[in-house]
Amino acid sequence: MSVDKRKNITAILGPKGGVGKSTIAANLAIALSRMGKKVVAVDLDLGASNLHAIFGMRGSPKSLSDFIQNRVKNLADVVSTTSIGDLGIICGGDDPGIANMPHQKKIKLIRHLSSLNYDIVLLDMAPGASFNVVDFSIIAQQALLVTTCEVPSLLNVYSFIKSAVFRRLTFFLKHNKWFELLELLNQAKEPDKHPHLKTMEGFFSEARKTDAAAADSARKMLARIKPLVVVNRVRTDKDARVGEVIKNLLKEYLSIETAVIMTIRDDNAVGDAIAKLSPIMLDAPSSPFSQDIQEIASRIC
Amino acid sequence: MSTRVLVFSADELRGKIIRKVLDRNGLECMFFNRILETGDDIVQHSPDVVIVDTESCYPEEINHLRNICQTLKHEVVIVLGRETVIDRFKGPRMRKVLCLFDPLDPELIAVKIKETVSQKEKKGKLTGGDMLEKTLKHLLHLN
Repeated sequence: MSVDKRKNITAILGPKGGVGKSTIAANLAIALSRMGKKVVAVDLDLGASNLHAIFGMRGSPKSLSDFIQNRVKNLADVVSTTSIGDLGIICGGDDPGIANMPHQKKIKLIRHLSSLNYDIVLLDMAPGASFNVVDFSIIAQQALLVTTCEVPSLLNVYSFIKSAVFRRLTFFLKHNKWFELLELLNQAKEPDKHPHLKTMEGFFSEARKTDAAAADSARKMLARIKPLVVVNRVRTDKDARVGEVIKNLLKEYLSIETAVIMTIRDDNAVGDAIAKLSPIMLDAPSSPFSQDIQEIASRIC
Repeated sequence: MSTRVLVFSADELRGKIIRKVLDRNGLECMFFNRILETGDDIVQHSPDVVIVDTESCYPEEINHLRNICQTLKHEVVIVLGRETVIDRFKGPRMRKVLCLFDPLDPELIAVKIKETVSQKEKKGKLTGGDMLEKTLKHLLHLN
């Protein structure tokens, strides 16, 4: 989940459902396309897909289900074209059980996502912090964490990052066969029993006693995780400041530096556009929401 | 919302000069020269900043202003005048006030008001953020 402009995958994550993630993903894809980028938006909210509806599409002859169920060989073959610039969409699948795809199919999907020939591949992720969501987010070079100002949403953002940090460190330590550090990481999952490992700084400090080079290497890997926090439905200055609070917590406990904090103003035009099944970037391009999306597009492009 | 300033001065000329300069600096300013009615005026207008000019005040007026300053808890208070008089506005029971000695410098008063109000707002914002952070830490068992 690091920011690397050489790569092209951006994940839109909203650990709590209903925070406006798909609306942001669809409209961000339009904004990026209008900036001359070749963009594909991928609905990875498997089993509960709705990205196509926000684009005003009734459905698609081909979807992610066809690829996952091997009815189509290449992921590129399920891209639907749109009337908006160079913008394509991969509609999500809703075949029963598709959200719990086997590991091999997940690896295959990740491989195909990584090789899509687009300037920007925008992943509209499912809510929650399941392994699937975390793993898809790990392949992205940029992660936009969408939250509202409410406490439950902020809690979920923190928990999601924590899950991603532990999963990524686990992979990293296993891959390098640093099993003593892996054991220490497992202890860190129980901070009540091991209070000295409550923070990532505590973990790294302890890890250095065992293997300084390995600990430094793991810390370096973690430093590449720099999510962008997007606070949606901001009504007041106070709302806008919640990004700073979550930024401080991520830094203090997980040693994660938040790259940028962006805000999207609360806007009734969003509901109106959704009711009309028309993306707000097309329906109300000068609305506050559209302006804020445009600004985000400029920042991540 | 603009910053509301009340100026209390027994010297009408000084009071009006202060008001004029503060107005010019975008501050919403009212001037009163009935020193013994200070308390009522503050209650009525709920200012953000109270400026107390001790110049030309009788001793009983200075005592009155001193007592008023002890009761103000939320307003920024700036006391103007000679050093010997202003010293009476210091002491263990006196809340911290900003003292600006003569000669009168209305532009400096405007600068100090802006600085102090800005710091106060910043502190208020941080307090809101601190409360949210405290709540999140509690719910995430980070404490």
